Amino acid sequence: MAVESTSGYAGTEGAQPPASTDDEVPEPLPTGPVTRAALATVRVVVAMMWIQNVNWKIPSDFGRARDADLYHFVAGAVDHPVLAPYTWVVQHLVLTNFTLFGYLTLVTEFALGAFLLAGLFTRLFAAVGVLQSGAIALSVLNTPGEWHWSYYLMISAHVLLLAFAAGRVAGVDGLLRPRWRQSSGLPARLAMVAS
Amino acid sequence: MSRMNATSARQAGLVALATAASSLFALIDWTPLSFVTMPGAVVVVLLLAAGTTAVGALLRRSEVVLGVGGVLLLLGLVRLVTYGHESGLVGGQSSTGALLTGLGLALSGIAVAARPSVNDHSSPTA
Repeated sequence: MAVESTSGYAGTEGAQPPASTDDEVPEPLPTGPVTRAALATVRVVVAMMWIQNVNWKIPSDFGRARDADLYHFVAGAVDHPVLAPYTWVVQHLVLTNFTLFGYLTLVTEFALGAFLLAGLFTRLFAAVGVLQSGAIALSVLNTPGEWHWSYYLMISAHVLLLAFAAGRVAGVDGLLRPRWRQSSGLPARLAMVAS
Repeated sequence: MSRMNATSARQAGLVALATAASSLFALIDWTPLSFVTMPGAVVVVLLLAAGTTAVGALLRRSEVVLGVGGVLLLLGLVRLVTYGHESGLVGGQSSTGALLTGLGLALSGIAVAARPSVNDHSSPTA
């Protein structure tokens, strides 16, 4: 039977707590309603960020003809380089296949908004969000007028959603994980990892 | 399809409320808060979807919630693939499609979670 001692150590009845619990047992994270509401709010706010910003990824040229919109920001990686290997990739792979890249960006950010809003496969899409935010940062960090902390905060917000599996709070992940857990099939196992 | 339990019905009701509240984006004309482009036809779709979901939640009918979720999901994805072509109910921009898709995923997820699991066997000898 689990008991809680006056020192706050929860262990087996009769067992001695470790000599130095402060060193070995990390302080548990809060899981109360305020924490859960905050986590769900951050997830929805991040989703709305992608939803609003998917609007200016406009097919079919994505701003190439006017050097505007998505094209302008991606070209920033060449005009104002941040990291030489990334600049090379943008110059020789992305800009030369820009229409394909534009559609990939549109679909990725559309999916980020929709799936983070619903809280479905949240860990997977939070990881995608980290990568997408990192790619955006590498494109525009040296562009005049950009506030570099915007991109550090974007990456940090997605890391938080990933680490806390935020879709399990007020999200579809939290509803479907018990069902996936009961299944031994590959899709259910993948869904467990993604959620 | 079985009746939803009280928890699933409450969750569907909350998403219905969020769906109705989303139509308020039509009233916002200030860029920092204008997250979603919201033409009049989409406002009607959202309010109809919210009302139907609320009725489904009150009656605890998961197929109603699943149906509304499926329709929103379909409209959202149609908006994505037909972007640039205004066509009535699937008007708006990519943001409109992403919002509809997200709400559709949420409602569909609630309805699927409310269904009895294939592993839920109630054996008389158990």
